[in-house]
Amino acid sequence: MTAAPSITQNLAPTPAAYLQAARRVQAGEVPNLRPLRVAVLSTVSAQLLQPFLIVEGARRGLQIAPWFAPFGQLEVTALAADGPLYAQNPEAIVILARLEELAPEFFERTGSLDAAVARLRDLLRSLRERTAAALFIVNFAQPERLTAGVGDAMLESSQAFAIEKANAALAVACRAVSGAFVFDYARVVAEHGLRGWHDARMFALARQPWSVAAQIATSGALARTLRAAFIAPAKCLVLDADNTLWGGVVGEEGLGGIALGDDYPGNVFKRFQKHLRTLKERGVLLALASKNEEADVLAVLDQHADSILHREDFALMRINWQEKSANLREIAAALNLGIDALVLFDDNPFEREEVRVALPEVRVLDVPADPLQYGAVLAESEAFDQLTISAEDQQRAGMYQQEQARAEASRAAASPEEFLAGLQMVATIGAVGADTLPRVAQLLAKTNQFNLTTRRHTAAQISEMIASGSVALWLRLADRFGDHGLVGVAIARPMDSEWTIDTFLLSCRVIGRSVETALLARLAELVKTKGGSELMGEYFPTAKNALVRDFYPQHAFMDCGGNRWRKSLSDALPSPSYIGVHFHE
Amino acid sequence: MNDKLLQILADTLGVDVGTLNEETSMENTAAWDSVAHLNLVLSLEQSFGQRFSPDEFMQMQSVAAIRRALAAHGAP
Repeated sequence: MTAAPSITQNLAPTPAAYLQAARRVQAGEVPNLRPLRVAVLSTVSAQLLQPFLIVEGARRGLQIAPWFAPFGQLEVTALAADGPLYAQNPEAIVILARLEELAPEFFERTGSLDAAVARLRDLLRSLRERTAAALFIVNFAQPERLTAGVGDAMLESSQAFAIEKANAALAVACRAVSGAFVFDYARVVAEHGLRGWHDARMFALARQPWSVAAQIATSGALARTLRAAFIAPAKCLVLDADNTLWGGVVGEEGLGGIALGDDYPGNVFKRFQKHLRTLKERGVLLALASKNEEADVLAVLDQHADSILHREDFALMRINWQEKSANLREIAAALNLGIDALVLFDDNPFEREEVRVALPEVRVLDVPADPLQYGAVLAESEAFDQLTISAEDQQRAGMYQQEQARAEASRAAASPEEFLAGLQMVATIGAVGADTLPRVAQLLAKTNQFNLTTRRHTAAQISEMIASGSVALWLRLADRFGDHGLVGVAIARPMDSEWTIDTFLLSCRVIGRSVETALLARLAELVKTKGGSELMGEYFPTAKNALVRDFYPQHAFMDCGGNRWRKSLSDALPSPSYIGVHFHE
Repeated sequence: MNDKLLQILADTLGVDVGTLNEETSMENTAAWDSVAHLNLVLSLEQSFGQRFSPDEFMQMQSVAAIRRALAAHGAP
């Protein structure tokens, strides 16, 4: 979420302008980018994308170092274990294979695309056997002209439909390989428009099919997909109330006077509320920060017949007269989120500026004056992009609600221990397997605070570690208020009888309950049964994880210097009495 | 004079505009390779509002040849 500096802004849509900007990005002039090695395997000559990819990446927080395999050599490149592809050690591999080259006969007389899909499926597997890099398959765009022209839509052998079916099959192939994703190129082409997408001159001269506009659009969308895979998304959308969720000021116009309903202009706001509810169902937390009388806002949410959003849809509400930035700070603290996990959507330019100045880490969206554009601005902000959506994401809002109930209970208890005991916590701990791997990889990718080493292993890398003898555990937690889902991960790898804790993390929603002690105890127990005699713990400090600086000393590990601690496994580690622990076999 | 052309060439090649002159050509300039050439002509098209044929792409391999092509299109 770095604010995009001027180097990459307002560029003329020419290779010359992008090349200039790309050189400055490569020289390190844009700060705080995450370096990313990307390899492109293509059936066409794709290296003209290079400057566009670098600039579009920098706009999204990535310093992309692209490498292009010689075009047309998909398998040759993928199968050569000691070839140039793996020498690059790419973190992402993009397979850009067009039907024009994969199945040229399809454009003369339509037919099945099964063979083309099977070829890409095999390619995915070959790559996965040789690398843990994230894999992206570029799906198939519709052709500029259909062979059967206006008659295609009626044909049993419809070309357009065959391509849609092939794209569905590509998605199936990606779901079957861990860390493989579809890059929805077909969608990019559709959004931009097929007319003006290709440049026949470029293809004739250089085997490069795109117009400059198409190169920019493709690079932008690819960078967006790469960001979704490699940079944690924002977690919470903080909304204003008046003129954001409804038209008008409820405190002045009253419940019946605001614009919210089935006719213009109320239907514009109702539609935006539906958009927000969809976002919430996808796992984004909604919060409300409004300068208002609390009773007025709650009356709309509780009583207005056309309000799609209700009080319980918000993980947290701050309705008062204090500064917006103060409310945002409190929201982040109450939800255990970093300030940079917040996105503000507020129609009032004054409030936006106040937050921009006071809290530069917050992503403040430029809300347009026209409420008809609210939904599009939110979607195009890319702030909540996610490539895979897990069951936990979909339950998250409910979980935070339960958290609020727990907070109420905490006020009633006399001591922290009494409170924790009253929660009736039950932890279930099990070995990471195919079913839990996606969620585990997701936690590694986005956990910042309670994370000892902040290693961002991909699903494929975790599988590889397990296959070579590491122990990887997940932890689920439930209590009397509800189920938190899978919230903890511990991975230890052996080196003779000494085991190193490679990864130890906890989702922020269960911090402060000593559940980590239960997980550590189980990890130690398991390592011991595998012949380990010592456990080595490491702490890699980041801007976010000071919380766990003393984690190992607190658990009676001995200081070895250099942020490393060791513990003999001769005695079992204690586990808190107030957490019931089950082992999942 | 036509500094716009030299500036676009400099931006494309990543060299200082002072190193370029009317004699500059693909043949005597290492950075002006085939990829740079495509990027150059595509950039010229956008900046001068012209569209060149594949044959013109192949001919525009020196500053002098580019000026002739621009003149043939009536570009300033």
